[in-house]
Amino acid sequence: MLRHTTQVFAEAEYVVLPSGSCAGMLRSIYPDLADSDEARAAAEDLAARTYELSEFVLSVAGCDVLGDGLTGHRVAYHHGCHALRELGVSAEPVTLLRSCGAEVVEWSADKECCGFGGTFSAKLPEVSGAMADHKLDTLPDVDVVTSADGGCLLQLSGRAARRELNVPFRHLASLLWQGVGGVEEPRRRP
Amino acid sequence: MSEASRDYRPGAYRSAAARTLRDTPEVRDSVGSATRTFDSLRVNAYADVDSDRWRDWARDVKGHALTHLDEYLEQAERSLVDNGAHVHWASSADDVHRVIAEVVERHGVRTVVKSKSMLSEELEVNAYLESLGVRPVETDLGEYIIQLLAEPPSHIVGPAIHRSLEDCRALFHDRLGTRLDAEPDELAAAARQALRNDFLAADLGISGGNFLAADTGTVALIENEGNIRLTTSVPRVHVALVGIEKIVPRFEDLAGLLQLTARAATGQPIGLFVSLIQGPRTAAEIDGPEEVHVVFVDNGRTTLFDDDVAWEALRCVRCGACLNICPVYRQTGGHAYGWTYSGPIGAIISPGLLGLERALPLPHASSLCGACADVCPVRIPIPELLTHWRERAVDEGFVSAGERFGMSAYAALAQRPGAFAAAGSTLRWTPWRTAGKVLPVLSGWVQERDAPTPSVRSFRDLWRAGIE
Repeated sequence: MLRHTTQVFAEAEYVVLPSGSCAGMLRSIYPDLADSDEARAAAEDLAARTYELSEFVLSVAGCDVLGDGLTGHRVAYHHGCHALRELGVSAEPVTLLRSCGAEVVEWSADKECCGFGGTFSAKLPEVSGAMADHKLDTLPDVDVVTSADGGCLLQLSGRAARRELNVPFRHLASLLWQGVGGVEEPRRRP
Repeated sequence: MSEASRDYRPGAYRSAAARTLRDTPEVRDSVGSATRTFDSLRVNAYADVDSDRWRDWARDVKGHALTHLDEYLEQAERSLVDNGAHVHWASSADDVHRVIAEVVERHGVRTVVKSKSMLSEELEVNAYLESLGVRPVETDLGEYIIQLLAEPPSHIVGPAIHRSLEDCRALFHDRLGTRLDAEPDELAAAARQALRNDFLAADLGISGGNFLAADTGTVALIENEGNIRLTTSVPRVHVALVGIEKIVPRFEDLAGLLQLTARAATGQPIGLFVSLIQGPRTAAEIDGPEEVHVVFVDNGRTTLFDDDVAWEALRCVRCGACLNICPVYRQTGGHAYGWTYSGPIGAIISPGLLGLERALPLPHASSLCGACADVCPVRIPIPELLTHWRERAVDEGFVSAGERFGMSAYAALAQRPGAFAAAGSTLRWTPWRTAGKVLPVLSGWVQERDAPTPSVRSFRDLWRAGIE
């Protein structure tokens, strides 16, 4: 997969991922997985061109005025652990949401792990579920919960659905798309 | 006995954790609020100093001592013997028990006062003393509470944090005759009164050791209650149990390490009492023990040291900061981990001290969120060590057939883009809740959560059609 990915993106000037976890994989883990000097060089080259979405939009593309599509929306932002700790991305997504008019509401547990953790969520589901519960139980009154990480949203929304909590979850990319005036693809009815 | 400590072994982690969450939800409340308080105090205490530099320094001092362990241990032994202390080398719990038995017999010891020591928990000293007909009395308030409850400690620094004030009121009412609505000060005063008699009656005091400075043979102990000072100075004999990884080169290293440990553990600039013990009472001194024994304990530490990656865990100063910030630990407290050391640090040292097979699944009891590494005062790369033990578990064949099948199936798909895409679209239409129950890995997922509703068109479709 490392070989495949470095080949696919060999020509790309930037590689942008709408996921802190995936960006972290390419940036921090791939170089250590390489089994030859050549593969390592390719992985390091890819890592240097890789960005998480909000980091790219704000810091590389320099866009800090996006639109007003989120005006009046109260938003809670969940900091996924890989974006926060592995990539050091924390202010960027919040800045972008605010630049679309959103009110990003304070959330005491916003930087606490959601309990996903990949295979952890399946190996130790009870503890993982309790971790999601802490996030959900401390959630302030908001219109939508968002994050740069799909894995975290899968965990949080899955747990909220199981508990029949009526909280909408949207990916950061989708909210920002609305923020700049885009129209979202419809969802299949459950 | 708390719910989680009924089946007290690491192998029972999942069921013990689930039982705690289900049957004693108040444990999660007590542990959650105590750990969040400890952690916010630590945040302030780190902010008051250049904690990044302090932590780099502490990492280097402990790392240097560990890579020169033989030199410093021998130097410490010489210093202690020069000071008039007795030094013993113990490779196992049995060796420690023998040292204690010899002291107990020679001095006719009936009562032992103990200060809080995780090493003594690891070595099961209390059970051993009882088997000799000796009464051990824990003198740290938290340890005193759990000794009355016949429970193991659930946290390195706050052994009773899984218990609420209400629990303590009921316990002290029952055992010490305090009022059912007694204020915390009254409870502490009742314990103090009971313990005072034990301090005066005891012939032997047993302590641990936070650090051992090799150049001067100094056992350094940090505390807030004064019970360590009494344990190590009132009885005629003092035995200090010190893990060999507690060694530091110089007396002056203690200044920084004691302060950093206090900041990391409880957010204090330093513990209210610091005891620096170099040997028995001298002719010029009016108090202190007549006889001091220092036991250098291995008990698996050299095995951990032999692991080229995991040895870094031996830098640990037992501050508990990683427990306090750990979102996994916060849900259950320490009993679910099934051994002396819980939380992230427990998950990386237990496999070394107990053997990996016995410690499983503790290295998996983490979402690898990385919060622990952010706070560790000696910069142990805890998440890396967790994945290291997971890798070793795979290499050594300690993986279930279902998981091995799931992982190789995923690896096969991940190497074949066509099959990966086909599997992805199948998954979009799979009724997870029913199908997931019988599939490895997914069954754990659907047990606690619902599956997401897929969008009408997959990303692959949108990509092929061209995104505007």
